[in-house]
Amino acid sequence: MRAELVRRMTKRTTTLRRLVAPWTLILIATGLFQLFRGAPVDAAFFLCIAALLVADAAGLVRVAGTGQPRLAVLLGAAAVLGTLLVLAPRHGAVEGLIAAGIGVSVLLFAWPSHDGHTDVPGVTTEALRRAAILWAAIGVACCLWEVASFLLGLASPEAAAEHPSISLLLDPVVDTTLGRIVFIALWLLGGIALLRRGRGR
Amino acid sequence: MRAITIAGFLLCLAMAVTLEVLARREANRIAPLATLLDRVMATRSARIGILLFWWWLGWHFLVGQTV
Repeated sequence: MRAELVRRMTKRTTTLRRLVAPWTLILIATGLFQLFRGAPVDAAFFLCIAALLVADAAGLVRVAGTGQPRLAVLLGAAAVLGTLLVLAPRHGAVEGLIAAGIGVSVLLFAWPSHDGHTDVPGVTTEALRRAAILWAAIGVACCLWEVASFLLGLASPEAAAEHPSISLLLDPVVDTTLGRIVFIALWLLGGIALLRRGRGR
Repeated sequence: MRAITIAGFLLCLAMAVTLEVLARREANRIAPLATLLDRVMATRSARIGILLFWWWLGWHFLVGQTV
């Protein structure tokens, strides 16, 4: 009886662990922080994608996805969309539509898994583990610094000026034409670089 | 305090750059970021999660109200 209970609990824990991967938990935590920040739309993005990943892991939904375009096509599309993003008014509906379209496209391109071998000759498991730990430490440190700045800046506009978040620091830069061009170029090129990762060989 | 806050962000950026430079010099000790991402993003949840964060950066600064 007790053995049966332990077996059932172990099976339930394994199923739960399989359904909610670490990155899904990160998305849920981020979505909840966006709610705390007073950004329900941003929260919805993270929580909806987390829900989609859980549903996918549970076999409840099936997203077909599409094949990823060749690099030349991606770069050409980035050039066109980047130009439109620069020309369109910031925070406007056109930028919203373009960004939404980019998001949906990237989701469809990135959804299919690949069976390619991702190991690189000469790079050991230990080197990968070390890199993962170091990058995670830097990422966590930066996130904690950002959260602390955000929280300290909530008290008043003067406090926000003394403890600016990354958004407060970069917003004036992105508000200039040159700043927007640089930001959009780096953002689109960064997205293309990320799309090409994890695809196997 | 403002200078200290900005210095903190710059320190994070400097650490990231330093780590990547070290990794490219000694890939057998610390894997370069691209190699790490290849391994991490082989799983769907990581791949979609990382791309969502990338996309949200663009949304946040171009579409949403940042300030």
